[in-house]
Formats: sequence, C-alpha cells, structure tokens
Amino acid sequence: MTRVGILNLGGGNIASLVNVFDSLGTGVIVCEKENKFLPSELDLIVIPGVGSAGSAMSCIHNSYFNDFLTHFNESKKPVLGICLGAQLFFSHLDESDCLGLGWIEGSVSAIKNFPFYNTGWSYLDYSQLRAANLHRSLSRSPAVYFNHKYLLPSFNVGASSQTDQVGSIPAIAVRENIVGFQFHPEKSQAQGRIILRNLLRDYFGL
Amino acid sequence: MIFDSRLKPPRECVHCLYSERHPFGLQFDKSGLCSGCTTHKEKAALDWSERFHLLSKLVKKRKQRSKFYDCIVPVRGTPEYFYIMDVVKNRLGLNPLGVSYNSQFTSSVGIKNLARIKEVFDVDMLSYNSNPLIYRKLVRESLVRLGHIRWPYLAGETAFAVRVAVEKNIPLIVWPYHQPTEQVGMHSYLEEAEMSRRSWIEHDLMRTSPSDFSLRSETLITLSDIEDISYPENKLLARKGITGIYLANYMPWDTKTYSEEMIKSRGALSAANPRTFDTYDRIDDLTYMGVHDILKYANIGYSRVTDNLCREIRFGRIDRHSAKIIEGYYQTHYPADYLTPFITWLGITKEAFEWFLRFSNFGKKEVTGGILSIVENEFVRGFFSNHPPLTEDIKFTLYGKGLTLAENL
Amino acid sequence: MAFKRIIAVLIVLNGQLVKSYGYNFHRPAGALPTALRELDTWALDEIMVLDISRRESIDPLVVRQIREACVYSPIIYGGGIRDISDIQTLLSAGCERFLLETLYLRSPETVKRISDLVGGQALILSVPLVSKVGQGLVLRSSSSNDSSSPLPLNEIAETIAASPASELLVIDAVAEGHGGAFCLTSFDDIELIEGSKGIIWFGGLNGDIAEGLLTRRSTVGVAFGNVCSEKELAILRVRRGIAQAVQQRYLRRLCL
Repeated sequence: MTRVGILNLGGGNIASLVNVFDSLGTGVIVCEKENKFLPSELDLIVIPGVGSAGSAMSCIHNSYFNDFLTHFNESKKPVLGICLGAQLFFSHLDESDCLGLGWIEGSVSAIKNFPFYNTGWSYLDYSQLRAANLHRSLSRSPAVYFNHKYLLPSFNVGASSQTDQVGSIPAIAVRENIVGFQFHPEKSQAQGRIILRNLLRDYFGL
Repeated sequence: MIFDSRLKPPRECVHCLYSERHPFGLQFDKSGLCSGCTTHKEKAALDWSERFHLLSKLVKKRKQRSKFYDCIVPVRGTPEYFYIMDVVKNRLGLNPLGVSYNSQFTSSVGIKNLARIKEVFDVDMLSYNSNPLIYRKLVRESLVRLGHIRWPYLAGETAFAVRVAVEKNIPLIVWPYHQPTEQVGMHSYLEEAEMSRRSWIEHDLMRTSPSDFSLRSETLITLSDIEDISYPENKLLARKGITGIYLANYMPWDTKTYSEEMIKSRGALSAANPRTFDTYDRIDDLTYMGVHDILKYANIGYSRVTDNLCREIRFGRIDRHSAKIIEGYYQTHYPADYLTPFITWLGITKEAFEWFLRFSNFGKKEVTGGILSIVENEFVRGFFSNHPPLTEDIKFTLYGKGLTLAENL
Repeated sequence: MAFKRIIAVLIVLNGQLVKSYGYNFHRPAGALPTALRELDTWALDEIMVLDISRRESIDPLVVRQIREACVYSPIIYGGGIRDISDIQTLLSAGCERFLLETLYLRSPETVKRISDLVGGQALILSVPLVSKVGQGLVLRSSSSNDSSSPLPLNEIAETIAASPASELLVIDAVAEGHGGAFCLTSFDDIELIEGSKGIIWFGGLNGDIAEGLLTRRSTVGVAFGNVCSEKELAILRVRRGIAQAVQQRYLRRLCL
C-alpha cells in the first residue's frame, strides 16, 4: 500500500487531505513535529498550507522536518506541496522576507492589484496538464479552487477564468520529484480528486 | 435522530400535540406556537383560487415538454389518492401515468382502491414489485439498523417514480403534500417547495441513503440489492428537468375532507385501522398502523394517532384537551394479530421483536389513557368506513386477487 | 483572477439546521450532515455553515457533524469563533475559511494572531447591516441584550479596512430569508466598505439581484440560504435567474 505522510505545520486543513487520500486507497499518516519518521517509511510527503510562510518555515527549521525533507528530496522521493506548501519549494518568500527550501529558483511575491487575493475557481490549461501527464479522465477545462495571496514565480500548468485581464494564474509547478499545486485539490470536488489520483498513479507511478 | 443531552423535557407547542421530540425538528415563535401550526395558518389565510391558477400555469409549461403522458402521479390505495387523480385529470386536464410501488404488505382495501382509481379515472398505471427476497432482507436491515420497517418502501416509492420520470422523459411528478411541511412547517406554501433527494434522504429515509444502507450492512445488503431503489444522479435530473411538485402548495390540503369527498362521489373505500380513529389514512398498508406504529412509539415517543390529531386540532375540529385523551387511549392498543404474520414472514421470533421494544427509548405504552367520553366518541365516529376493518385481512405480500407467496419462502 | 462565486449558506440553531427569516423566525430544515453531503454534489463554489445560536463557544456537535460529513467542497464556518483554539478545532474538522463576527471589533489583536496562523485569505468579516432613519446603514446588534446604540457603518469602515481579513460577508439583516428583498446597494453608505476587500453579499437575494451584484467590481461572491432547502438542485434555479452573458463572464461553468 502506498504510504502518504502529511506534515502538520500547524495552520493547515489536514482533515480534508486525510479524507481524500484515504478515498484514493492510500495509507495516510499525519506527521507531527513530535514524532520522528524515517524517510524510508513513506512513499510520498505532502506539505499542506494555510498560514504564513514565516511560521511554516520556522516550524520546519526548528524540527526534524528540516532534515527529513532534505533527505527526501535528495533521494528524489515524491514531494507534493499544496498552496503555501508549493510556495515553500522556492528560494525566497516575500511574505515573511525569508528563505524557502530553495529547491526551485524564484521569489514568491504578492498579487499587486485588487482584489489582492485570488479566492475562487479557475480552469486549468488542459494541454499543459497533458504535457505534465496529469490529464487522465479530466474534463477539457477542469475547474479547481484557489485561495492565496502570493504567486508561484514559475509554473508548468496555468489556470484562467473569463475575468482574467492578466493571463494565466500559476497553478502547478513541477521539478522531477517535486510537484507544487497552488490550488487545493482536496477542496476541488471531483476534478481535484481525479488530479490527485493522476499524480499518484500516472506521474509518480505509486 | 441525534440524541443530544441538552434536550431536557421537550418543549411542546401551545396549540397542537407536537414537541421538540419530533424527528424532523420543530421551531417555535415567541408565543410558543410551533412552526407547523404557523404554516397551517396559511391554509385559512391564502388566496387559494389564485394559487390554483399558479398551479395551472406551472403545469401548462411543464406539459409541453413531454410527448404522451403529461405527468407522473405516484399512487397508493387510499381515498386521498382518488382526490389527487381527480385534480390532475379533471381539473388540470392532464394525462397522467400512475405509478405504484408494491409495499408487499398491501391490504385488500388498498388493492381494491388501486383498481378503482384506474377504472374511475381511466388512467394507465405502472406497478413495480421489488424482488421479494431482497425486499425482505432490506426490511430486516431496516429493523436492525433503524428500528423501523418502512425504509425499503419509502425508498422505493419515491425512487421508482423518479426513475420512471427519467426513463420515460416525463419530467413532472405530482405529489399530494410534503410531510415535513405539513407536520413541522419546514416551508411556507408561498415558497412552493419541491421534491428533493435531500428531503428524501433526510426525512423519508431517516438520514440513511441507499449507499449508506449497503455499507456496514448487518444483513449483507449489496449494491445490486439497492439498485432499483436508488435515486438517479444529478446530471440526469438536471438534463431532464425532473421536478416534483406538491399540490398542497396550491390547495388547502385536508386529508379528511378530500377523502370523504371521494368516498361519497367516486366510490373510494375506507376501513378501520388499529391504533387510530382515522379510517382514511394509510389503510392500504397492513403494517403501517400495526407493527410500524408500535415501533414508532417505541423509538420516538409518539405514534400516528398524534399526527392525525394534530391535523384535526389545526383544522379546529377538536380541542387539545380531548385530543390528549384520544391520543392516550389509542396508544395503548397492541394489535397482536398483526404481529404474528409479520414476524413469521420476516423470520424473527416474538422474543426478538419484543427485544426491539424493550431496548428502545420509550418501549410499549402500557398505561391506559382512560375511557373516551361522549365528545371524544362522537369525534371518532365522524370517521366512517365502508369496508371491513384491516383486522379481517392480515396476509402479507398480496399480489392482487389474494395470491400470496409460496410457503417455503 | 478567479471566477466570482455562488455560495450556499446553511444556518444552524442549537445543533439543528434551520431556515432563517430576518434572524427572528425559524423553520426546521433537517440535519447538517445530510445537507452538507447533498450540497457537495451541486458543484457549488463554497459552502458556509453559520451557527446563529449565540453560544459562549463553538458548538462541538456542529464541529463533529462537519467532520463526519467529509465533503470535498471548500467550507466556511461562522458563529462563536473567539480565539485561536477555535480555529484549530475547526481546521481539524475540515473547515478552510472562517467568518468572524464581533471578534474583529472587540479584539483586533486576536484577529491578527489568527491571521498569522491561517493567513488573511482564510478570514471573512461578517457585516450584518440594517438601515436606521437618520443614520443610514448601521451594524445590526448581535445580541438582543445589547442596549448600546448600534454602530454606524462609517465608524467601523476603518477597522474593517485595517483588518487582515481578505473578504467581507455583507448581510441585509432585514431582507434575510425573503428572496428578492435585498436592497443594501441602494444606500450610498455601502461605498464606504467597497474597495478595500472583496464582498460576498447575502440576505434576500434572488437571481435578478445576484445578476446586478455580480457586475459590481467589489463583488467576489453571492450567497443564498433558504432557497437551497426548497428545490432539487436549487443552484440551477438561481443561475437561471442570472443572464447568460453575466454567467459566462463572471461564473464558472456548472459541471454536475
């Protein structure tokens, strides 16, 4: 059985992630700061995120999560970041003016214009999804739920809505074993669940 | 029902007999009147000829979408359903397809009424019988899981009507009334609430959907067992525009008055029930006022006679004090004649059935409510019957013409 | 940015789901878990659970029901949030976003601490308004015991703008429960709170009114309460009241 570990950094909605991974037939473990896990025990790590970049990074640095994540990435084992979790992969986080994990170059900066937050649903670009091998069984314009203020500096799959004046919103960033979703697949109803399934089975081969 | 220790002695309505204990929930206004009584006041206050006109316009719009049948009318063998057919056929001028789901406990008066509806109104009727062995398994699961035996019938009756609507492209389904609106005032008639899967699961199926039923089943229910009692999915409902309307939003629904009108003018039959004075309500089902009613009292502390009395109080046909006496009187009736054939059919012992009563919240009401006075007797006699009482006829799974299933089942 | 949203509001009173009319009169509407599971199949943009019981703390029964319903749609919870531990309890039940009622006026520091934990995008401020002759729009008092004069909108506009919350739930507290009666945007005062944060409008909306609200720059969402209990797939009926052109421009396609 695929073992998925979800890091509890304190401010995230862990319950929904546990539910959705459970429903996909994986074994889900919530990794608390206090319990140490060996990287060999887990097949996939999920970094969820709601909250501030600074407190998330300090939680990582001040616990065994730091070494754990480094080891996981160096062994090229799968890591999924969701929302803030995806932003942590980058080198600089403007929100708290601090360093991220630095696995992907780039600076995560804020949305400049009103409404200042990107909250709501947008359609993922299907052809970009297909290029990333995440497209199986999805509708031609799968809608997913976003709720964030800061943007990923680089991305492989963008999302858009009719109201977009500025073009695509960064939605998915991919770098080999590291995948970051800016949106919340666990809150994106049927399409979100299918994307997670595709990530597990088609992209990571788990 | 969610058992919440915050509910101390349940708050009662100042007018009718319902209390917070009602499984649909009850809300009260500042004067202590319950939400059901508040909705009921609309029956005297609204302009019903205007509302009937609204109904005519609504069905005219819907009628244009189907090819041969204009609507579906779920039918039961009680006098009230004659009234529905009369409204649909003669007053609204629609061509209905009647649908009837066999409860497997239909009484002979129920079968006769169904036959008479077809004849008197000259309507086509589609009847469905679930596999009797599976049905029995579902009734057993319903009893074990919910302490209630009618889950399979309530699931099947509505699901069958909606499935026929989808399959035959007849988007309009006409129901008499929405029970939670009539009893606890869930909606105002002005809101024109409609049938919904949510209300079916919440109110009819006691918060247990068919897929919940097959999960962690006590009696090995499988997905194929519940296939024919499952509601079609949203995509289909949306595409076909399936709508279930309630006539009570457009007419001041009164089961007693309408039933009596049909008995006099259309030859509908009525019969004496056990455990209630009402000779029109649910007479088509041999278990309703017998086994089911005993279990209902055992689980929630009141039985169908209370529902009948609340209706009568709200229509001003009896006062609360006399109603309380009649309620107490009927709730102590224990029609043992009805139990034996049922538990034999279900394949449980008398002790097993008594176990359900012993460990339920309220058990069997033993204390007698006293004797009925002249006033109460006169009220009770106001409900008349023109068919032998249901006690004369306690065979189950009648398939028309008095046939029963083979003994070895 | 993202499409504007249609939000269903489920109102809870003492553990029971109710239909609410101007917060004064209620009708029973079933139980929360059934409603949540059903609305989860409607492709709604968000579902809001609003507890109007005026308890000292959040209701553990409601929290448990949300957790057990296990829905895959975004959930906003409002009602009785007092401090960070409430937020943590709700996060563990699967709620994404939180509606703050009196907290942002009584204790902006607590709101700041909550925002540090979950981010401003998870916070919505509740602004229930009534109109008072001679005063314009005022905040509806949340307690019937509160005898102090109601706060006019111009006095709280600054507090609202300074708050780290991302959005406001602006409620027509009189029209609530009476579809078609919403009228807040006919008052000039409303402009005091438009512009700094996105607004979700609630209280007596119908399709036509929603259509007009969706075209306002400040609008990020429109919310519907009682109607969600009255019809099968009520969301379709609501959308039918909104012109096709407005739907295509502002709302995501409905995909059941």
